[in-house]
Amino acid sequence: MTAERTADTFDDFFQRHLPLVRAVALARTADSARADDLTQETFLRAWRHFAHLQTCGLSAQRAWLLRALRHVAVDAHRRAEPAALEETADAAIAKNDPNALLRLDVARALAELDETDREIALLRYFVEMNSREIGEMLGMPEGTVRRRLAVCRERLACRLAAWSEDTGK
Amino acid sequence: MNGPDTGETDAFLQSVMQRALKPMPNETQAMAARLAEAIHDAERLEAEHNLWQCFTGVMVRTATVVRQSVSLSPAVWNADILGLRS
Repeated sequence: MTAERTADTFDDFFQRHLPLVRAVALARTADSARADDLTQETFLRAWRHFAHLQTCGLSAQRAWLLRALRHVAVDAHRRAEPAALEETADAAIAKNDPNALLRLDVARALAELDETDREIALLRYFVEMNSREIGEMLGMPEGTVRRRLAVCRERLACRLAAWSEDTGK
Repeated sequence: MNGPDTGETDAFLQSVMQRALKPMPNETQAMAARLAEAIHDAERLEAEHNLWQCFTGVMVRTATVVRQSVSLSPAVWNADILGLRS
């Protein structure tokens, strides 16, 4: 057993990984309802493979979930037409969630990145992993992660600049 | 975006993403409940599938026995199983 290995219940596994899986799903779809569907299907697949996942470390579990989410999203994309962004914006406002517009804007900004860059940006800024950890998890050199992150940083900062006053930065 | 700006930009992006993407406790609860229901359905489907597999297994074995009976002794098959008397 490695130090990183986690032998927990499926509920612990779900609680630990839900924020990342949901964030990646949201960043991919820019739509809360669809993100919830992708999240559920991803965890259902994880439940079927939980005996194996229990023997993996945290990083391997994350990598497995991101791969599963990609497959689930591709399957879902084949079945459904993309929703109009205006509709999802209305739905976000109708929910009366103070963060709904911020969530939608961030999700849209991330959705404009390619898949790998989106995962790198989320692992860096949402999960707060460093370039070395991200590189190990995604199977790419640390230098490549740094270069891609520099491009993502510039694009996201430019795209989300309107929120900088709001966050007091 | 190099030098001191990088750290500031990273802090800004980190703050924005945490605020925007972190699920609320009620969202987490709702998704956990929904997933529990989906797992329950999957377990039920799996049980039904197993039952069906078991049933078809029995049917296949029965058919095999019947075929063997026929090939080994057609007279017995006709007389005792189908009730035909010559």
